[in-house]
Amino acid sequence: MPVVAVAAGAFAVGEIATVGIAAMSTFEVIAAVGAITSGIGALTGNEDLMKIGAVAGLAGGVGAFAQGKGWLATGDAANTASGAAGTGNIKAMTQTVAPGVENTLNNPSAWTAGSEGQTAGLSSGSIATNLTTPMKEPGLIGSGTSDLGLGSIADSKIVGSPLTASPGAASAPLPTGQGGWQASLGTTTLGSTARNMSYAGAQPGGGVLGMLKDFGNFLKDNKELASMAGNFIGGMFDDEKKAKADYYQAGADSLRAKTANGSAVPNMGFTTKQNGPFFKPTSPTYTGVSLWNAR
Amino acid sequence: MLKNQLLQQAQAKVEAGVKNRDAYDKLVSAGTKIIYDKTIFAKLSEGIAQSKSPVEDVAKGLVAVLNIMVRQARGTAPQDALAQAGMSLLIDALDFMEQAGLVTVDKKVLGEATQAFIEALLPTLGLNPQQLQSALSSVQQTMADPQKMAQFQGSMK
Repeated sequence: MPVVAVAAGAFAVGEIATVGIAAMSTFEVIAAVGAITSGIGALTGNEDLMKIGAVAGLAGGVGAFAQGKGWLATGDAANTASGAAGTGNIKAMTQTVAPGVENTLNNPSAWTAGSEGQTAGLSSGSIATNLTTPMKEPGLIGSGTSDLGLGSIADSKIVGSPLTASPGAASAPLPTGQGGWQASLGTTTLGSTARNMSYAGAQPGGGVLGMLKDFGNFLKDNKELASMAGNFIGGMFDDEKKAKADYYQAGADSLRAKTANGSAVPNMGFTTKQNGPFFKPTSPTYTGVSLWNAR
Repeated sequence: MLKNQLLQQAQAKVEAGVKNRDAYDKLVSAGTKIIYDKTIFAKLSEGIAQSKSPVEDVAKGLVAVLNIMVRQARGTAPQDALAQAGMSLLIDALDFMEQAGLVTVDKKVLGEATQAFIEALLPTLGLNPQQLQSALSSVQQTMADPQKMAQFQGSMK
């Protein structure tokens, strides 16, 4: 039985609730990634990671909240259809069989795993992408799938996000390089607080992380939002969460130990408990004189 | 048990955010079995030994493993648990590499590995740069509205 089948077995139909990617909105993914990034950034003191994580956490949280409220207009390319489900309780979400799990989108586009240097300077076009084209796997694992017993990669379908671009967004030109997001809002005067949302756009060559980092540049002029973003890092130091983390870590360690033991060759060597030398090494060897060895 | 204290702390950070515990544990278990499969492990070890950037290549390799799991799971794997499980597997792999004498894991190395992992992971989760850009643009409008942000703040309390 191919080892990879273990992964399939882990998610056998009926074994877990079929969540489906549709139920997990884009913003929740962003928030989850932000949590990881900000946590590691805080641990390592890497300011870039902290910033990216905080921005992603804030953007993801606000986006998911906005989706649930229905604030995101249909002109946006976000997954508004599942916004309400995406922000709901996890248990409630997993009860729902998400439609279109293997949703195939239009306009094929090949993405390589680990692609870097993806910039905002992309040519305009439909935002919907077809992820049925298999991702190119790094050479680390090997170019062929036969070694892994996977069969042909071309036969398997990568399920991507079912995000579908609404007509308005599909025709919107993608921002190119610097100034991509600039002046899209300018200075707002809603309510009693003016919020300046203009900032230099995404810089080329930064990849998706660079995109998040540049998006956070507007926090410089918005202390209130910066404070909210900072809370996403602060939450990682919550005492209750730390206690839970310790508990879960103990469980994870147990699982790893079981996994390691399952594949480890048992040690059949016998060990004897040594209490230390009864006689000191420098002590002369005592030879008892008895009738047996007396001469 | 992780040997490196920094990686232990990182592991705790990752697991602090786990909501879907069941899915996370299954993913970590499945990923561990895949990585330590005799054939795959041999290829991984060979790749690491020959790599000029072993940390970065390990991060990308793990994303490829996650990709395998996503395909096999036919899209039923929760994405947040996938990201967390992947990070957990990466931490494990870094600890192994350090014990094997291939790398010394310090804050810089961990940061680089995380960055490479996240950069490679997002497309796997269906978040390519175009989609991310659209999502961020839509969020921007909400953030510009103080009243909506006040509601958001209230919901976080």
